[in-house]
Amino acid sequence: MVGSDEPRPRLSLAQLFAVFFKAGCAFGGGLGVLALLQEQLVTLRRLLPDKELLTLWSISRIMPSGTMTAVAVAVGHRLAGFPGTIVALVAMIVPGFVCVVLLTIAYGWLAHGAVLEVIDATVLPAAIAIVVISAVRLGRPIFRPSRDLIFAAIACVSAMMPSASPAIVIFTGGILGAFLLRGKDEAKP
Amino acid sequence: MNFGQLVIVVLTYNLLAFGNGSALLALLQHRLVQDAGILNLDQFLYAYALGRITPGQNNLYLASIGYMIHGWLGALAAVICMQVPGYLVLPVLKVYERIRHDRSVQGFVRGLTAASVGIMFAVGFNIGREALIGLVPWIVFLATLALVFLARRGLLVGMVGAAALGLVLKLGLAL
Repeated sequence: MVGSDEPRPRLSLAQLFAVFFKAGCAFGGGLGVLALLQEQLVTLRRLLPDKELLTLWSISRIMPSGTMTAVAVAVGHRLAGFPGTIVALVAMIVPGFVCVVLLTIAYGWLAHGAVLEVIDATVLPAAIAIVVISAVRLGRPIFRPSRDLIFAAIACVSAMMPSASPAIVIFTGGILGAFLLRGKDEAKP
Repeated sequence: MNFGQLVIVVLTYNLLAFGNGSALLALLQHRLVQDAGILNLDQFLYAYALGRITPGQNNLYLASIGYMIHGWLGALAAVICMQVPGYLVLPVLKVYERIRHDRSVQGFVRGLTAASVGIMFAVGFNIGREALIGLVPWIVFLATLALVFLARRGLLVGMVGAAALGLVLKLGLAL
């Protein structure tokens, strides 16, 4: 496991498919998917500690791919080996893929209608709430007076700037952390 | 644009953008809309909107672009090209597990993790600034938080319940 010497938990491919399929049904983009994964893997099944999922997500953010793609590969590999990577990716993508392609086929009918406007006012706000919930739950180990909290606050403000690249902000956090957070003042869950 | 070119464009741009959705969007818009005129701006923006309003990762809008250019095969190819670079995380994690006891590496990961938490809040703020306009979106947003945190419902239940409430309010206001 990342950051731990405990034995690796295992999951059958069918269970893994179910977990990632459910996560793939979440709205709110990658963070919505992450929130569902956190609920399934950390809260309900206790397969990973919060901190490990957050570490995997953080490392995945600096990968040259979609973040959740790298998270699915990493978690799938930890829980079910190489076949797990394929199962996790496929399960996570299927719900969104089918919806996107079907709605693309319906482009002629939907592009100028009111349906998208209704979705904007109903599904998107709920998805934003899921993103906030995900941040609160995964950030729990950091929410106490610590240098980590200062790092998080600075990263948050930096990433709010329109020209900021999240990958660069996170990578910079890592580089600075190597000098300023080595072994001091660790935030505990 | 032939099928091979579509594969190369999606794969290389995805790698160049380093997982940054906005950067990938800008590159694709330049190549597919401005330069080659393969898609018009309406089609491109529609595809992007689908990525935001459908479940799963936002960059699934690539499936829509792939479908518009080469049908089902194009959609599948675009999604596969989007996923393949994710496998680079496996060697990176392998190296990390070997060196994770080093204090500088621990500091690096702590900095990475803390910055990631900050980014999550920034993403919520940035999307919220654009999408939480008007009464109904705010009610849906707060109702989702209430259902999950106060009523202790699961995330999907919270989300669907609040979105349904928003739909009822939206239809009620339209009448």
